[in-house]
Amino acid sequence: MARSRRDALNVFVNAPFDPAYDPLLEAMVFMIHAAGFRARCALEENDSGDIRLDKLVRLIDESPRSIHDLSRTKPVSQQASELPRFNMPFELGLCMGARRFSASHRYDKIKIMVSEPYKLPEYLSDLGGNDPDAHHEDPHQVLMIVRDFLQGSRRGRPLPGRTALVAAFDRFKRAIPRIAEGIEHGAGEIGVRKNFPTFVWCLTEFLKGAEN
Amino acid sequence: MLKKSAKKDAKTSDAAAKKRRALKAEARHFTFMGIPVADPAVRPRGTTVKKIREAVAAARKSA
Repeated sequence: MARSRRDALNVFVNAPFDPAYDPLLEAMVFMIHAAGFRARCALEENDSGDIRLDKLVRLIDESPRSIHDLSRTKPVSQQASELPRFNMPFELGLCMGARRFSASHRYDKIKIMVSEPYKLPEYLSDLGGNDPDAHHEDPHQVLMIVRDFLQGSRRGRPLPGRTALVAAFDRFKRAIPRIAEGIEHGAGEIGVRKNFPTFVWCLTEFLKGAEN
Repeated sequence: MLKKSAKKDAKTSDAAAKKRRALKAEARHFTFMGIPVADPAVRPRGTTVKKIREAVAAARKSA
C-alpha cells in the first residue's frame, strides 16, 4: 500500500453518486472547503488499476474526519430483486472499525446524515444510540449540518451564519457555467460527479476570491 | 571544490525555503470569510489551475 498522506484538514466524503443527489453533494463539498477543510472522496482518482476497496481504505486512512450520508439506503422499488445501495453503510463500518481498532484513528470524528429523522434504527439498529442529522433532501440543510460538524471539531473555526453561507453557495452555483466556459468546457461538464478534481479546484479558486 | 559545491547547495536550499515560505504566506492570504482555503488533494483534469484562476476572475467580473 502507498505511504499514507494523512492530513488534519482531510474530510472523507461517503455519499451516493447519483444525479438526484448532486445538489446535496455539491453543498457538502462546498461547505467542507468553505470551512477551511479538504474534501476527499472516491471520485478524485481515475486509476482503473486501483482496486476500489484499497482506494477507500487509503482515503479513510488519510482523513481524520468523515461524513456519511445514509439517505439512499432505502428500497429501490417494490420488486424484491432490486436491493438498496449498501456502499454507504459499508464505508461507515470501515470508519467505525478504524476508530475502534486502530490507535492512530481513535480520535477520528464521524458525522452521519439521513434524509428523515428517527428512521435509522429501523434499518441499522446497531447505530441506535447515534443521533444522525436529517437533511430532508435540502442542500441548504446539508450546509448547516456540515458547518456545525466542522466548526465544533479540532482545527475548526467559527463559521458564518446560514444567510451568508447560503448566499455564497448560490453565487457559486450561478458562477459555475461561466467558469466552465472560461476553461473551454460545456456548461454541464463541470460537476461534482462528472469531473470532481476540476469542480473542487473551481470551488477553491472561487472561495479564495469571494471577498474581493 | 567541495567547499564551493556545499556553498552552492546551501544557497539553493535557502532560495527554495524562501520560495516555500512565500507560497505559504500567499496561501494564508487566500481566505473565505476569514478562513484560509485549503487546496484540493489532486490536480484538475482537462485544464490547469492557472486557467481556472483566470476563468474564475473573468466570471466574477462579468457577474
